[in-house]
Amino acid sequence: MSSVSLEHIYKQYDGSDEYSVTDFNLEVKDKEFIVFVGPSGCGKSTTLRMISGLEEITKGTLKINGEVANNKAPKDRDIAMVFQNYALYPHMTVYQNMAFGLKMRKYDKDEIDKRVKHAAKILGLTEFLPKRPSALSGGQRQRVALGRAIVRDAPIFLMDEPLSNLDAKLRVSMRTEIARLHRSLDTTTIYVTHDQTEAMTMADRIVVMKDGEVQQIGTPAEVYDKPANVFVGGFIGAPPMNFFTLDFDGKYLTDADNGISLLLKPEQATKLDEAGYDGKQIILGIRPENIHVDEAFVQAHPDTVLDGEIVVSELLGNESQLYCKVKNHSYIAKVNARDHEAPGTKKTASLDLDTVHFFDPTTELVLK
Amino acid sequence: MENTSRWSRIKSYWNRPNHVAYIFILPSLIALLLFAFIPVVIGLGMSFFNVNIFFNGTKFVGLQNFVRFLSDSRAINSIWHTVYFTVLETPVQVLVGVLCAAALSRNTRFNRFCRSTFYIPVVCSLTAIGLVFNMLLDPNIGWFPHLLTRIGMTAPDFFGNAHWAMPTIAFLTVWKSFGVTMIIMLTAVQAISPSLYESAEMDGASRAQQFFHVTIPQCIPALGFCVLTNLTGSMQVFDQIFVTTGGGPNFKTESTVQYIYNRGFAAPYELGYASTVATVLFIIIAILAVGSNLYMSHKEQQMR
Repeated sequence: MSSVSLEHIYKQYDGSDEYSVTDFNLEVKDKEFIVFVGPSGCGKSTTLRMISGLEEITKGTLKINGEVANNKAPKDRDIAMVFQNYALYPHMTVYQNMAFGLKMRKYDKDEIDKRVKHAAKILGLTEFLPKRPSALSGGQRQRVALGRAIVRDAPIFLMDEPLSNLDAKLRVSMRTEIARLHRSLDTTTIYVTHDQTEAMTMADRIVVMKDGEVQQIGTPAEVYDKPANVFVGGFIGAPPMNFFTLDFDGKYLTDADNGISLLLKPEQATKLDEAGYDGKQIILGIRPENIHVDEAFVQAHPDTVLDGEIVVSELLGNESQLYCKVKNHSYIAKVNARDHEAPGTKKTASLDLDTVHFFDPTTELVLK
Repeated sequence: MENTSRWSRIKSYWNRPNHVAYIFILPSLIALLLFAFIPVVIGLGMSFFNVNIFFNGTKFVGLQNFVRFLSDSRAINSIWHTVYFTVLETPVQVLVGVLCAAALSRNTRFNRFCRSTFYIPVVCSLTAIGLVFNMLLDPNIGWFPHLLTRIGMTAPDFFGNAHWAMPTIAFLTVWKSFGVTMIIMLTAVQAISPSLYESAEMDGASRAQQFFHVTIPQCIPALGFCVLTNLTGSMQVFDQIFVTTGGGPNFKTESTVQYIYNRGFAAPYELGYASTVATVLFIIIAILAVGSNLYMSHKEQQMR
């Protein structure tokens, strides 16, 4: 059993008068795969480093396996860590790199040998054991870094953007490899990335962060389907969610300047009305795949059309991304490849109202 | 007309990157030639002659000077003294320099103050420092022996006692010059990626273990350079001995360079024989330098 719990964790760096991490709360369960995701500088790596012990906690309580660990040295926390730039010792062979942590912990030679060879077998590194890191490719080095964590047999793994130095193709294959390792090793893993695809594909739960604050914690599906605020909606998903700031008059959502007028469903209108938005502004969010351009859909939904013009279009093979503009407002539609059109074409689109999200324009929080 | 075009052709030739470099190194090349290469060649040649400083009675004697060297116990002893000094000085100096570099690697105000302070003796003249130590350690008027007597100890005659003289000279040399090693090692230590230390910390390595398993192996090239320059420098020790003990007591601290000086530039002014001793010293230093260089580059190869 291994668990990590963060209670009201704050981080303030010396000489800075702002918090880099503010009121971070999270309960990581045994064997869970948690991903911290957010733009650079959002405090996700700082939080990870506070869990590892490489960074001091300014305020709050960190518990590992139920025990307060704020002042424990990194080596006493039962944690293994994989660094972004691998941090392999250049002067040691692959074998020595993997064995170093065990050697420092005074394991006997046979045990070290057994563990290193076992880890090398799992990772396909056996033939590289006598080589030095400089003789390896990026992907192989990444595997050595993983191997260094595996031999430790620690119940908790921390990974700080481990794939960001790899090329796109390798990243995808290492992604599945890490997911597979997590399943077979049964470790509790906390993984930091700025790549929302990694977060979506690997996580049991995602922690979305911005400016040192947690925006939302949830399963990948929850975070995608029920974003807690405008930021999460825009950050998770590629291309990002479209946002329209519109006036609500009890029935219609309109943007007179850009000639947008959408007739809401009665139950939606009632809900907004009850929430007190009559005569006020509201932010409507809709994912690109929920803006349709095929004729059948547009004809069936004539009350939610956008008469836009395509500015840029990207054909991706099975689908196409149309970057459109209606007067001064841009939006992206992700459509079937057969609806692909060249830039400059006028294209009428219609929104699928069942999938839209409403946000308050001042707090930017979702309206439930 | 033709002249200008020839001039511009010359100009463009010497402006090419791999040609212009020669122009840049030309001044130091000339200086090296005049004050290093040519004197070395002359010195090598002179070691086969009997020649005094007045150049009268110059005579070619072949290897006779070298034969004389082998039976000259004062010359042989001077080499042992030099080796003794080097063995005392080089390891301590490098060690102190490396430890200081590792301890002061972070850029705090205190560390920067220490670094500048430790470097001050480097820019002072060895002769001046030797004279200051002479006074500080003087058994009659010295401040340090005075302090020792105050706490109830008897101070040895640091420069006058055969056992103490060489270690004392080595100490003042370390004190004067470890700043150079410190600065060179500092740049090497600061170039080490901090993530290696973090990784070592996660691996459970203590500060001392991090020093031996990360810092030292990562600094091997710089360390090699420091050992090499130190070794060759120590083998040519002269100034500090000349102004403190003058080679005494009873020639016990006479270094090879000092013996060369005493032979060639003091009575009996035997430039030829002095050159012979210099040649022998040259060969010894060359062997040491090439040997340590080979060893270090082998180590470096291993570390890659």
